[in-house]
Amino acid sequence: MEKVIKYIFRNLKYAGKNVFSKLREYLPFFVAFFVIQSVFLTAFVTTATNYQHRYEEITERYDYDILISDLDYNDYIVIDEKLYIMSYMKNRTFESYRVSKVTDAMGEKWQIYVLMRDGHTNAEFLNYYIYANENLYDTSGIEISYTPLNEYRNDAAAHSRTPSILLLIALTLISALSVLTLYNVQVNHDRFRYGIYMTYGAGFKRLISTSVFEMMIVAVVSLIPSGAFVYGISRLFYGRYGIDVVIESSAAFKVILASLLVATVGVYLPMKMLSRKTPMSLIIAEDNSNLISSPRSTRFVTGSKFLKIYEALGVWRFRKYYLKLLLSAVAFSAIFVCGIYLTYMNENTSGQSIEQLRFEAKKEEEAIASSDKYYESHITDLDFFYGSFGEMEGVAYVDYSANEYAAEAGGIILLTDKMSNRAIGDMTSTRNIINPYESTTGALKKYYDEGYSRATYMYKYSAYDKNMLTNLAQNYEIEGDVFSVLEDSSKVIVSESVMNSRKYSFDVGDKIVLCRFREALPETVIEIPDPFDTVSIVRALLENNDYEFTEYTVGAVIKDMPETEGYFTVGLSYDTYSDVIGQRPVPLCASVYLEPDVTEKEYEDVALKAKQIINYYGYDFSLTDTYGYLYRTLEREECSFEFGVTLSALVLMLSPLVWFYSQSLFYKKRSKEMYVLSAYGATHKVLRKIHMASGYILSAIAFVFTAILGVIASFLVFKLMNEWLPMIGFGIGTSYSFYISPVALAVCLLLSAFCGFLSSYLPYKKMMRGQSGKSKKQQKKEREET
Amino acid sequence: MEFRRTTIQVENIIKQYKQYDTTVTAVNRASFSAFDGEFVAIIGASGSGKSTLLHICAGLDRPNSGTVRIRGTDITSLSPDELAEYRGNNMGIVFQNHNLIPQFTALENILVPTIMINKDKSAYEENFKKIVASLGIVDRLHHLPSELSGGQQQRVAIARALINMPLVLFADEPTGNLDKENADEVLELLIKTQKLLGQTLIMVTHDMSIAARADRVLKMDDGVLTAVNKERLLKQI
Repeated sequence: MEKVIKYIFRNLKYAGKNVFSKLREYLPFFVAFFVIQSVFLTAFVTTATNYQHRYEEITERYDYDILISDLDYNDYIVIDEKLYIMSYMKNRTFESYRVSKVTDAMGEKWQIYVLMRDGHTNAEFLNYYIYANENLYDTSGIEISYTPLNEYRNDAAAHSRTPSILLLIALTLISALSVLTLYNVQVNHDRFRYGIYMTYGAGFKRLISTSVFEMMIVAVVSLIPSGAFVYGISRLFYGRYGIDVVIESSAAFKVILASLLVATVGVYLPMKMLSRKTPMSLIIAEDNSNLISSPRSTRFVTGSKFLKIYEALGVWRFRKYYLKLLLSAVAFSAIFVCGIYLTYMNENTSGQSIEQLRFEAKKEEEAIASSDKYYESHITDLDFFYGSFGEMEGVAYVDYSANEYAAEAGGIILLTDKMSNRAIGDMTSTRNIINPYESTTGALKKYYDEGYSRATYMYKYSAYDKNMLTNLAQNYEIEGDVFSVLEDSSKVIVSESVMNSRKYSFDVGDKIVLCRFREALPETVIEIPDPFDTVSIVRALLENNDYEFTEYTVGAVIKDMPETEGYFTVGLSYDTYSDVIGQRPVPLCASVYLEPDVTEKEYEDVALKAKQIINYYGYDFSLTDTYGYLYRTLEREECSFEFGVTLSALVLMLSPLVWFYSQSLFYKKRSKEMYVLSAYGATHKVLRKIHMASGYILSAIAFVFTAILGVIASFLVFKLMNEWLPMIGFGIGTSYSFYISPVALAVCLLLSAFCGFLSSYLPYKKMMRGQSGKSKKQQKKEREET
Repeated sequence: MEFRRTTIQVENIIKQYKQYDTTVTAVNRASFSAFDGEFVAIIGASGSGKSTLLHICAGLDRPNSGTVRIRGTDITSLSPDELAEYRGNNMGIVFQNHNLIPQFTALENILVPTIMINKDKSAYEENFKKIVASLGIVDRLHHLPSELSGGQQQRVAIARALINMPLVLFADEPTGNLDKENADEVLELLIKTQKLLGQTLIMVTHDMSIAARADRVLKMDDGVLTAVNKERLLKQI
């Protein structure tokens, strides 16, 4: 232990000496770690604050986890007795309970509010008191709902006080990139020192530990300003909603750990590459570093050609350096553009309608479908909900629709190449539609010859009535007329997205062919091929079964319907749906969606009305409150937009840092070249023009680089959020459009152009000051005195 | 007959550089060996390849072919990390232009090799005192290199090379940048400490009078290494 402490102490001493004796050269690292730690601290502070805020808000509103309602007197007595007895037991699953009585048109009903104990599941409680309670006659009529308190207790994400692992990985990678970039510049500049270290026995391990110790000193020092900064902005943003900022005592420790990780990852590559070099190559490189001027260029020094070609040659001569500089400096601009894009996505999601109430049919689907009476009243109920809520203030729309997966209904759709061309080669759902049937006869052959060479069962049928069609028309980007399906039974509506991106391509007027399963062909046994080889499955189904083929015309195309699964939608009228599926559409659920900017009063009115309707009319629907309004309010108060923009801006700060740090060290080496030029007769004016020419060239290249990298990075984020993350189970059911914030891009373009020019021009000013040994102010003062 | 152990054995070293389209052979099949406590001088004109050979022997550069064995270990076959560790434990290097780290004091510069191989203070303390006393830099230890004279800087560099008690000391024109008086002093100190610590000293120089002090003299001519008759050399001087 003593040895370890001695080792750390000695290394810290040398690292400290190195850092503080070359403070100006290490200043960019202080700024970088200020940014890195601010970013990490923001993540930790916002997570802890949001957690605390959610907890306080929810516990203030709800003092129970489970609400058992719709109990008649007998059921109430049975449950209450059991609860009463168990409330004296130490090992009970609930903490406390209370009872209330509700009187409505249907008579008296009882409700039981239960507060659960930590560490016990809802299932434990409900099984014992409800489902496995032998004294209860029929539990199907009992309503059970959970409050946000219960969701909060059980939701791991809400319960977490630490940021998501994905966010931490992304932040670590960005931070490591910044340290790597700066350290690479530093290592190239300080090769001599590392050459000496290696001469006297430093291998890779020693080099990296030296670097990590240096970075840790920088990290510890920069922790104080970054902590103050994050506390300041958090107070500013949260203060508007009266939320107290929570800084956990372990946050500083976590940030130091994150810094250690970032420093190790960031210096690993430069040190690894350095350790592969021979010590002499590092020491000699330092000694000869002034000889970087090309003799071929210097001979033009006093001629007219000189300026025109010198820096162009210069940029070409140092192309490797400039390429590295551009890629690294502009990378942070691109990350900024992406950060703004993600913030915009988040803002866009929170701007969508809120699902607040859900009415679910109590009766089984079969029961409703089998009886005309039930069916008619069911549809009337839905119509009533639509009318009652549709006109209310704050309600965006009421949604109910009946869906059936084609695979379950024995359906297959035939498409042409044109309709599914974007799906070809895709990894998700489209392997099954590549030429599934090649050698067949009859109707299938006919369609195949007409160009319907693709088929899939990866879609779903949706039944739409007039109300739902109105919703479609209001909420989505539609091509054609959705109401045409009501007037013409041969028309259908189709969506184009699967797995959150548009993979199909339909036009209004396109003909599609829906295949309806009739029966299996006699004496055929379908051998199920590889269950993942969907192409073969579709082919086998088509070749071995008897299908009824019906042509339909696309009446409308939904361009932006989000779909996280691999199924696109074929929308039909209720009648057509009955024809195709063979049974009537049964919407089993109706949802009331609120406007994104609904007020608390409007929200309360809607909730009250829902309860009144259910209580008064006693519909065969259960009512679930999704607490969407509460969650949306909490989300808004989390200030994601403000923090998103701030974090992105912090990352953008790294770009000028790389520009000026890299260029200042580069021109420090080139200064001797300038002195050589000066010795050959180049005046200050000429040297200034060289720097300016370099600035203009670099500025122009940086502008183009930024535009290209910004677009590429945004596109990658678009693909990541829309396709790649949903593929591994991180989809959120929202289809994002490709977007680049024009303001963010303009800021980056200007910043790159500005940094490109200024980072080339400022070294000239510095050099001039260095020559005279006096500052600009001193020179001016002297001139005035003269 | 006295038995002497071979410390360093160099065999068929070839080092070539590419310059545009032509290949320059800096060292051409150089071979030699040195024994424990022996002082070997390598002389030659500027650009003859003597420094390159020294750097290869010290493991600071890699040859195109050939081997360098120190106490039987072929250092040319070691990985960069193994070589660095071996160098730190067994070799000391003195450069012509001292190569002190400017932001470190003389003391810190001297102790750099001990930190690089993580040597405990107790392991080098006695040696440190002996070296700084014999080099006469006790009162200059807390000065930065920029505050020292050329001769003092070179003494600090020698102390740094000796602090880990290396088997072999490589010196690349250690007096090349010094005036006569300082050069003589530094040379005396170098030879004194080498004898004191019983090390093998391989020194590159173009100064015949320094070479004359060596036990054995080798000459580098256009990359080719040959032995020099010391008596004839003394007569020439």
